[in-house]
Amino acid sequence: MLGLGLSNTIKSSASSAPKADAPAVLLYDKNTDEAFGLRFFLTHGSATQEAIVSGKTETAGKIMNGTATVTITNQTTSQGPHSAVFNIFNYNNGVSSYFLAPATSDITISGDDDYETINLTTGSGLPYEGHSLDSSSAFDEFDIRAVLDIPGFTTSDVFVTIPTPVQVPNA
Amino acid sequence: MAKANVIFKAESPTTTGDESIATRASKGSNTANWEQSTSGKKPTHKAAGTNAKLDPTRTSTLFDEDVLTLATPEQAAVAETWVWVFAWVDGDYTSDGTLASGSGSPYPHLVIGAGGTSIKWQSSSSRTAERTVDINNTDNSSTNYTFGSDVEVLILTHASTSQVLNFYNIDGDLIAVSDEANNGLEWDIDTIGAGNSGSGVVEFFSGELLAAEFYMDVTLPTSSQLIAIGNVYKNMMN
Repeated sequence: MLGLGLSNTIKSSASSAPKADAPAVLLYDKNTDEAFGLRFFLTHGSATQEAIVSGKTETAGKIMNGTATVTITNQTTSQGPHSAVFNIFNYNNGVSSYFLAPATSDITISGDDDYETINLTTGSGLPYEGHSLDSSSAFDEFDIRAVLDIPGFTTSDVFVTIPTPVQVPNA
Repeated sequence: MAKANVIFKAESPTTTGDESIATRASKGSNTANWEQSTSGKKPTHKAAGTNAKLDPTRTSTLFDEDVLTLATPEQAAVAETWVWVFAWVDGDYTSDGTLASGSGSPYPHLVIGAGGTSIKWQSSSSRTAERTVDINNTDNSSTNYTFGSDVEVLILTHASTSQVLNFYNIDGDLIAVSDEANNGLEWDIDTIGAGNSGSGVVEFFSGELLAAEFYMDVTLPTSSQLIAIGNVYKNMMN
């Protein structure tokens, strides 16, 4: 629960800007291929959340303000750590939750897999392109860390509020 | 990643809350669907935010005298290493509750015993009757454990050709070991939520299932990997 309850205010100068709140939780979605999902919460009314949604429509799949840099390590195979930057999208379930995806514009949510967009393989155009974090094992252990970078704020603390390591997607 | 053979995944953010589940795709290499055609036996999708014990984005599947059947059964062979993972919340252990079973005689099953204090099973071989191992002592394990109403996990592992079955909880703790002849005989699994008697479904699981995963022919997880499996479901707690 890092950084909750801070009454940050948005300032124009990055050098004097407050630090973005670290999200309350970072949730992990298992799926059956190499793609999976990460989503997180921010406390209602926090300045960071207000900055994320400022000028945006809070409906599922809408791109929000800011980015998150997600650093993943396959602890079983010692692949990584590798980092990639993801945009922030509205998850739309009424609890101020968001998910991360590499898309650069609004995502059409037509099915569950649309939320599961973090791919650990090395394929061209994928978030961790050139840096495979995948292996042939079913039960690799992953460490997942992230920071938020929101306009008007300095980068948040690393947030690792999920228990890690976690098992990874399994296909 | 090594692919799971069969998965039932309760997480479905795009499914409408309280919708009866007639079919849901298995997410494993066995691509047959989990199905239920009888209206009174369809489990119910619970939307995000409806179970206070779960993280507010999480969905679950309520089994209340409900059952899903896999159109193509999955076989756990003697010579394979198996890892099965079940996760649920709000388990009601008033009676025996079946996590997985098979519809072919002699009706293999894996059951949480009444009270949440034991595990029962029967393979697909008529060479063994149902067996029971208590988990609320350390006679067969290193940890005395009883399943409760919060998020729970049961992991079953079986090494290739072994007659040893190991059972672990959400913390990756060893809660039971059974080392008896013919324990590792073939299982043909095609049902979650209830057992089969030959004349109908019996011993319903009562609770909200989060996942049922069946891995065959994989490498056994290490102790820290068992913890990592449990952490997936700890992440779902509120």
